Amino acid sequence: MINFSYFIAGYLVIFGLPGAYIMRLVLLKKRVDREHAELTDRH
Amino acid sequence: MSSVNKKLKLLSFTALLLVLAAFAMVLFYAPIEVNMGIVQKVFYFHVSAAWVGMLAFLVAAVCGILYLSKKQLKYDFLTFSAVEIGLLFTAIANFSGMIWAKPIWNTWWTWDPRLTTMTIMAFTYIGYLLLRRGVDNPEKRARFGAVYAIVGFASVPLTFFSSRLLRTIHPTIFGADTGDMAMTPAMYQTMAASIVAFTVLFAALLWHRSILATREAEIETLRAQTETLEFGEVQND
Repeated sequence: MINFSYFIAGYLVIFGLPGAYIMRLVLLKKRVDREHAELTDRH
Repeated sequence: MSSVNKKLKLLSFTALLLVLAAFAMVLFYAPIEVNMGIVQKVFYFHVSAAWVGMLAFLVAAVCGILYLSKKQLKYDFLTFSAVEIGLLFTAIANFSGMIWAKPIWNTWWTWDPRLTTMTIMAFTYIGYLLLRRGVDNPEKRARFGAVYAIVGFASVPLTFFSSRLLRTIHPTIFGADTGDMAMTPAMYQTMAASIVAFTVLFAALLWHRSILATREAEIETLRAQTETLEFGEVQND
């Protein structure tokens, strides 16, 4: 168990990076939907 | 809800379940390796991430070929999405590998052939994203991107075979003549589950990202049309 902290750090990276990417996609979807609606109205 | 949306939701949910199941296998099913201890368990998803990264770059190259032959922008969106997700998984493989290496090799990083070629591969595809940002014309951007994704794919077999053909301290799991890392059946099963889980997650992310890329392109077109219309109205005034 001497390297338990490295195990935790490894899995923080393994699940943290996809989690951050999914958050980015969610925010991008919100922005894209808002801009699409605005531009369609103006058009 | 359309059938495409239903399928995408089902795929996303399946990916989540598979990742959780594979992680449960890592925690409770795979034994603790005798020499390395619990940090060896990082390796299951590290290998899966490296595999998905390379698979994503293969998908990008295939979609690049399809774009050049069919000239349909949907293949450009798929190429772009595959490269972006490939870079995400390559980053996971690199950083989790560094964390594994510190207690096992006593260093975060070494210029070993596998680590070096993996870094070259990552920078090659960062170059792809930079190239796309530098080209405004969608057709030209798609054409340049497709050629880049096809040529850039040369870095993938270079990375894959580097630990098999060159002198390296990186363990080789598949296709090695000698066993660098002795694995029990439970370990192989856990690794297979992790690879399947991350592959399904890649498919779900690719689908989501390509839909968003298509919407972004629609916005780009709408914005250009709106600006042209507004400029015309100003001219008439």
